[in-house]
Amino acid sequence: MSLDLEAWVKKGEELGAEYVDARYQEHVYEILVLDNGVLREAAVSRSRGVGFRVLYKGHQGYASTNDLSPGSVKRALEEAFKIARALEGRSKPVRLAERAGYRDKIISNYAIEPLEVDLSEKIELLKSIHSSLREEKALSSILLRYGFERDRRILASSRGDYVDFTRRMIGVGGVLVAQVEGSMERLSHGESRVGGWEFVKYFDWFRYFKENAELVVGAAKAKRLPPGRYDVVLDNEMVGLLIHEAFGHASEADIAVSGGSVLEGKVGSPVASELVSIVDDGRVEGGVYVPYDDEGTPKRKVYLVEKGVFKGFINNLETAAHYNAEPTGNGRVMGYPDTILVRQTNTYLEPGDWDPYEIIQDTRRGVYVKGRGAMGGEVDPATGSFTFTGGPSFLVEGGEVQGMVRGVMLAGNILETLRNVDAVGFDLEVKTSVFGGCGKGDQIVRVGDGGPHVRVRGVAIGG
Amino acid sequence: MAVEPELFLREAARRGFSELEIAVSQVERFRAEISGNTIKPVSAGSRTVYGLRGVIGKRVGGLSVSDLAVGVEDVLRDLERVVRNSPEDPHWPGFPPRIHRGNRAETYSREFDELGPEKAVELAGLIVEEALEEGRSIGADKTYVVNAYVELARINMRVVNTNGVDIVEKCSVFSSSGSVKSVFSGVESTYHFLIGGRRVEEDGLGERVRQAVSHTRLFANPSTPESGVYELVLTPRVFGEVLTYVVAPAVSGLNILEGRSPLRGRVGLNVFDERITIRDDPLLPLHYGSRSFDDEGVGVMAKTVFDKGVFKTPLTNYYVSKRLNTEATGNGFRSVPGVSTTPSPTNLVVEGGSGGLEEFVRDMRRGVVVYSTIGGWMSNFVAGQVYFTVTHGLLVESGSVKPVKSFVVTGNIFDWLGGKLVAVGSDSEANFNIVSPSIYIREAMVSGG
Repeated sequence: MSLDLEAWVKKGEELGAEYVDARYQEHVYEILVLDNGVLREAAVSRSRGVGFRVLYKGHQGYASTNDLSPGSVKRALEEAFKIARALEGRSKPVRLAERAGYRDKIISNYAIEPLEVDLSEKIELLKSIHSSLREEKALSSILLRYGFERDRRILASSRGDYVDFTRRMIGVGGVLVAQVEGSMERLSHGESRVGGWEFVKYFDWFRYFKENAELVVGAAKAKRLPPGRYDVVLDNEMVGLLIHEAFGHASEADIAVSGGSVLEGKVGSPVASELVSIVDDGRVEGGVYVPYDDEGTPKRKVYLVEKGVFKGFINNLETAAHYNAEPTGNGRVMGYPDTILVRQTNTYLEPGDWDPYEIIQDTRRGVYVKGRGAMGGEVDPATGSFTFTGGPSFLVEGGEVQGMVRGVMLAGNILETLRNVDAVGFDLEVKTSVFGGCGKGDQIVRVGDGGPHVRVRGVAIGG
Repeated sequence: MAVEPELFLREAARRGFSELEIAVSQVERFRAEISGNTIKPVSAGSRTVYGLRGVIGKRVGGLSVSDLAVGVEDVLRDLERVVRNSPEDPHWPGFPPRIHRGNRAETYSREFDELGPEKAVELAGLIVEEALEEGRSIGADKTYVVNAYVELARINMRVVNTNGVDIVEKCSVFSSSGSVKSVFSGVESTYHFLIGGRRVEEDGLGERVRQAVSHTRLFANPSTPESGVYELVLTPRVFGEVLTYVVAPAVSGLNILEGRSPLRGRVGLNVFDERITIRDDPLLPLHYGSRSFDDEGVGVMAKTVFDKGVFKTPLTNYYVSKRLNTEATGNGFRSVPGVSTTPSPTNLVVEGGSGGLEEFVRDMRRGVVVYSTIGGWMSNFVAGQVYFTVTHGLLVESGSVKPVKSFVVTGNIFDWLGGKLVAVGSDSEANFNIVSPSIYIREAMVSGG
């Protein structure tokens, strides 16, 4: 990297800025798509660029460019300064929280660099999976994906930060469509890790996709769940979605500062069952690896909820100053052109002491909602309404798992649903994905989520 | 590296590529955000991306580069590695030839020549002013813009291929959305607004912000309805969202071809009620989805997708049209230069009927009117199954109307627009690339209390 970020930070200060940060990014994304046995996509995307944030009398201006010639970088820096200065009198000034500067270089663990693995080996893997799935005659469509991302970010700031972090993420996924006697159903799912080719190489994809095929064919034959309120047992993936949507977003401090969170004013108040403790942690096994955020703040493990009590919001430097709180390392961006938002990293529910099988056995009548095939979730933090979908799921009758039902949609209210948790398993699992992430303010960032099996009483479900 | 596409073409020929497509996208964007009535932060950015797709025989691969320091030779060496390692696509028809249909859409508003971050800031200020004024007029104790953004963008696209395509398209984009909150005697109520197009719609923006604030009064103190079967009315915006999530992917020729669409084998058949006519129209002046050429450089055309309930044509890119042995409809679009196109709508326009929300509510015995939802994007188009969770709705029962939220509505699109269709409204509204009226459906499943 020939760009001297620290020199550009100094140049920004010389323009009259009280604070400058420069974010440089090199991003590589490799995608392969095998669509019914034909390679639909073999593409690599390479981008790099630099973005500046400038504070002038507390007003923030951002500007970016992917032309790294000195003239273009200079124009971007000056544009950011010009914007910040033009906001004087039109916007309220902000403060950034004080903290020490950090200098670090981190590369996430990997054993085999995926970009050095021959493309034909990756394609052969997808073709082998496709061939094995073709034995299931009820599948009308088999779309398989391989994805790899290498994301290097360097942050330099007026505070003396210089954090150089590279993360590799890799995964394989697919969309299977089954058609049984005129009834169609789909299942979209994948498995990803922070790591290298070794994850793909040693994962049993044939078993994984065989299970997915059985699920989607079963779902095409299954009935829809009658609408209503049910006691639900959520598996690890579904708990992740629940926690991320039903609580995580409302605990993002920028939403609270804007007046858009139902958790505003509730720090220290009970908001969930005493069995519920929720954590945001950038370094948990299985999740996305975020040792520093995009402002150069180390990501701390933070309790959002401890034994049912709301402990506080996750922050970036601006919201930490607003609440006179510690920065938690949650200031994140999708890429170098974007503005800093408060984002979750890996949000999960801490394990309890129930054996997951005992939760099922203890449930007289309900639905065991499974995450494989779930499409995701969404929340309106201002009204408190949230929703998420599950994959093919199962009825529970008399403590036993019974027949399959098709994918369902669940809905609830942030301040009610987590109060109705009455059993928490001991089987914590956290996952992330290289194929998607969490969207907010037109920015998508990689996140992770999870938890143990959990039972929630009386959830609205549509089938 | 500001590179002319011709340089790529020459180097590709030297390296033995049989075909090459270059798509260059230059975007300048200005964005102002609002948080709690305060305009912050504001950003400006410029980005050029080169998307290359190369072919050797029937082996195809793609590369997207926005790293302007990389040279042409290095880019094509990387692309060659991708292409030579790819298996043959037995169906590969080649990149499209020059297909101009003489249609020129209005895609750029000249006012964008002069626009910069200061205009985004001015429009953000307008949002706050309009919200506060409307809040006062509806008697709220307090009203504020929780969060919002205004974005202005200038986009230049050029698509060149070895089969004779060389087109340039200049587009402007204006978009804004946000949420507002009012407080009435200690009770908080929020609502959202959004608007998008290819011209700066100051009046439209102000009107939508005022309407959103006005709706905070309508939806204050919501309850959750009991689970059951209800009549259903979707406002134009919500009906448009349903079309985006369930109908648009189903009419994709690629999904039909690959066995992922319930419309496979149904061209020429009645799939909806005869009151349903839907066009894909890229030629609407300065609409959000208006284009003269698609992302492969194929000239666009307006087409009727559903004519009085009959499925007339899938949307296709060149590849799909050749496999289906039909005409390319000019609907090949992609998210990122360098990847293959997939068939997607330009502007989807639903023909209006008669009546509107007021008439529908008057006719309802027990039903819900849906104004705003979350999660509709998780609907299952493969099965035609619609799901969404209502954040803002009205329960109409025995002549009374009261606000409701936090319940799931489900149903099947072929039922809703088929045997269960009661009426199509005449109150069409444009929301980004969908122009749709409200719609009245006889029954839908509600999962609530």
